[in-house]
Amino acid sequence: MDAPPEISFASLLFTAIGFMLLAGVALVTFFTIYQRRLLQQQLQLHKAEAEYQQQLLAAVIEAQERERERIGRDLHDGIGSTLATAKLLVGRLENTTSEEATNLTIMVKEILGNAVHDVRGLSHSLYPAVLDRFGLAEALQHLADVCNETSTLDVELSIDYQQPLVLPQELALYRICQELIHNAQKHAKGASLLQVQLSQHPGGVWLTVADDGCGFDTVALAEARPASGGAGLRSIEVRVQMLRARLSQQSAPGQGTRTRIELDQPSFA
Amino acid sequence: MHFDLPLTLAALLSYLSILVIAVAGVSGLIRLKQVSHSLRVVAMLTIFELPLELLGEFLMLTHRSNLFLMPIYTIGELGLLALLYHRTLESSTFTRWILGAVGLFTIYTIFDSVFGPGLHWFRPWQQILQSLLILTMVSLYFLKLLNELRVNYLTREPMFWVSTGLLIYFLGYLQIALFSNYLLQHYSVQFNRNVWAVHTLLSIVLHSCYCLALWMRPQR
Repeated sequence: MDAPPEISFASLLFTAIGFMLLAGVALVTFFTIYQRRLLQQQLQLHKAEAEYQQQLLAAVIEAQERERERIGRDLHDGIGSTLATAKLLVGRLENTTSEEATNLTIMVKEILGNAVHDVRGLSHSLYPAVLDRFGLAEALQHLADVCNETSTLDVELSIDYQQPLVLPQELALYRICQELIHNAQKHAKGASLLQVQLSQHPGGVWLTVADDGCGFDTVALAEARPASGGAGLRSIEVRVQMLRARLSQQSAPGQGTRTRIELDQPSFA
Repeated sequence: MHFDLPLTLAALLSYLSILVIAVAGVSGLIRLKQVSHSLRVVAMLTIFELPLELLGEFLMLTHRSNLFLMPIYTIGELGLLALLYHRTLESSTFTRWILGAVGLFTIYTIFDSVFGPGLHWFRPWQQILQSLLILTMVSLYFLKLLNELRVNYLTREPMFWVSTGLLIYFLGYLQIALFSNYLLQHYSVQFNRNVWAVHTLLSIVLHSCYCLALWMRPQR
């Protein structure tokens, strides 16, 4: 076969070389722009993560401070004043007749009994001893009983929990439940029933807390959350992260709120 | 001794190419102990290329074939670039793969040079295989850049310029290598010179990239 004429072959060859060179330059240009864009995305992601971590840290510190304030107030207003009254009554014992002394002693005993009850309540809120002794199911039952006694919102508990988890995971779930109940009592206006469900599946453990209150717009809340604080919910998120669990929340105005924690990798005791 | 190269554009490019290669070689000598572990290989490459290029140019000017230098050049260049990307990519899989590839390529090149056509002919498959191997290494480097996103400013990264130079050079050179013997057999000397002038231009781009990389301050 004869070779094509020099001019036509030259134009073919130079076009091919030129095309390859153009392709090379275009590839490098595209690569440079694409890499810069990826890098910017990564930087933005890191920035958002750092901001989120900072918010979580702030929420934890805020929660700690809130708890300290509550303990201080409980000690000052409750136990402190009870003991002060008891001391006053004991002081009056020295100058009284035996009949009055008997009455005063009865009053002092009653006051000290209240103080003991207050100390137990405070101690339980600081660390739920029931959880340590009897496990998560009993601790949640105790929490529901206390809530039913102290609040107008009825708590209905449903437990299907055969194999106990390790204590740190149980404590985290307990705290999450405590915070969710507290949130419902505080924010679920018009709610009459709060359902707490702890269930164990082959795939893990689920904790569901649902109320029939006013509900809220989840999209609006998600947009407003960075500025509006939401320390309670963020402290729940911290514990959920610690558990490596998933948090899902469903709500709509007038339709109540349902929050579910799904722990897929439980560590059994 | 008789030199016969008219002062055409091709000749001017040829002189410029020798100048750029010489500058790259001298840069390599000066910067050999100052540059990073990886870039030291680029310095070694420019030093390795300089005498071969000078000898090749001298033989061409004195109308003697310099094609016998090509296998030496090809094996040396591929080996050094493999070392460069071994140090840059830091991947044991790549190291195993490239060691095997360079070993096989060396055996093939020696075999092809000894038992192939005479020393006055090009050996296109050596050039094509070398080009494809180098383009693969360059692609792996670019992929690593995208996967790891460690480099903040690509234009301040010496290895980016080395890889860009290699990409442009070997993309263009692939076709020249493919048709090298065909051109020699069927077309005029002038046309061959024009085609090789394009190669010279590519070589200038590549060695300019080497120079840039060798004199670039590393990113902090």
